[in-house]
Amino acid sequence: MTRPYYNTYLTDGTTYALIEATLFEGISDVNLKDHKEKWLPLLLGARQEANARPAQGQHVARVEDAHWDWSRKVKTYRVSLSHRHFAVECAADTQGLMQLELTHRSRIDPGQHLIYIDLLSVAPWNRKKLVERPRLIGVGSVLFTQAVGTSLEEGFSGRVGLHSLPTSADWYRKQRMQSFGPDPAYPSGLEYFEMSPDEAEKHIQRVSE
Amino acid sequence: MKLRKQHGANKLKEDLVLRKGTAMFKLKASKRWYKEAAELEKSYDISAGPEILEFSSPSDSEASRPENVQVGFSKFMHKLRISIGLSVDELAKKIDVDREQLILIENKTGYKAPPRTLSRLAKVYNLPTASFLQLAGATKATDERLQADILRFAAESDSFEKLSKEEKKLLGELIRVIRDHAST
Repeated sequence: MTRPYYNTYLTDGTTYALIEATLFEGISDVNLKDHKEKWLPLLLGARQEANARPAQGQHVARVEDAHWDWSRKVKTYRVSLSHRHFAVECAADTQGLMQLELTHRSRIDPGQHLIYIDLLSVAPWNRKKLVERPRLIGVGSVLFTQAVGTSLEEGFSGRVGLHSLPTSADWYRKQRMQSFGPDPAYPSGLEYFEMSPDEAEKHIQRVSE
Repeated sequence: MKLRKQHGANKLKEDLVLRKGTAMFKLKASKRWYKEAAELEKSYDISAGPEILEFSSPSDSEASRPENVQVGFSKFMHKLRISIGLSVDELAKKIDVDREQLILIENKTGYKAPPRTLSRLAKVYNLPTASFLQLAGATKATDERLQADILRFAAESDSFEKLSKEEKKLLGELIRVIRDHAST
């Protein structure tokens, strides 16, 4: 069985050259193995280091997704109609993973469906705060744009919602998502963002220009 | 929303997912966009999801949650579910979490449930998330009164599956205390 896929590009973190990559629908067992054997040791190591230096508490936020159990999530939801999964692969490694939920409703257009980004995570070697020089840049942009496109494809007019830590919040603002401020449902100031149909259309236009 | 064909249970073990009948959006991006996107993204680490919470480390929060408080929380969760008349499976479906997690929350002392599950439980029981997370040990406990109240609840409620009149009263009092705590 083959997963649907298409070719995309990432940017080499050293040479800034475009490198061919592949975006798959579905997260395979190989992706899960990469997460467990390649990502987690780096994430947990970074978390351990951060915990050993409590004075630099902000480092904890860099590796807060070390506890995400992708394997459990994917195995739970891979046959669910309410979830879709995506993986970016490049240079024989899993570079990013994303789980989308299709059951959420919009705050901008109450009652309307949207794509909710339940989890979006980038390989640790691509994170500027974990390594001196990220191996590849652009994984987040490619996955986020895939979420917008999936919303269009699902008939949700490009609406996308998500919760972000302060560290990514500015980037989402630059994607012209509307902020609803810190969500009181979460104690650590997670900010809720939503992309309107108008902005989604403009986003896709910008991408293809 | 387009209908998509669901795979049978026999596909669960397969290492891939393929949703027949659902078109995959295929991004047709210009090389210029890839370069611009990389230029912007190089200053950020992108992530998203409600589980990216900065909880205090498990050791910190558990240290401030004595074992008897953990027992009380499990009992509280069990009674709350009974009070709304849902089975574990029904509740799991209603709030879209794994049933195994709900079983562990109610039965395994000190089980650290994922933040998303706790947030959804707080929501379905209409309880303030911050206080709820404290009781669950997901965030550092700052209020000893909450802990004392849940201990009292654990001590005074019994293990019958059906709530007695006294248990309902006790449950109602604890819920009020938790809600009051959030508003003070």
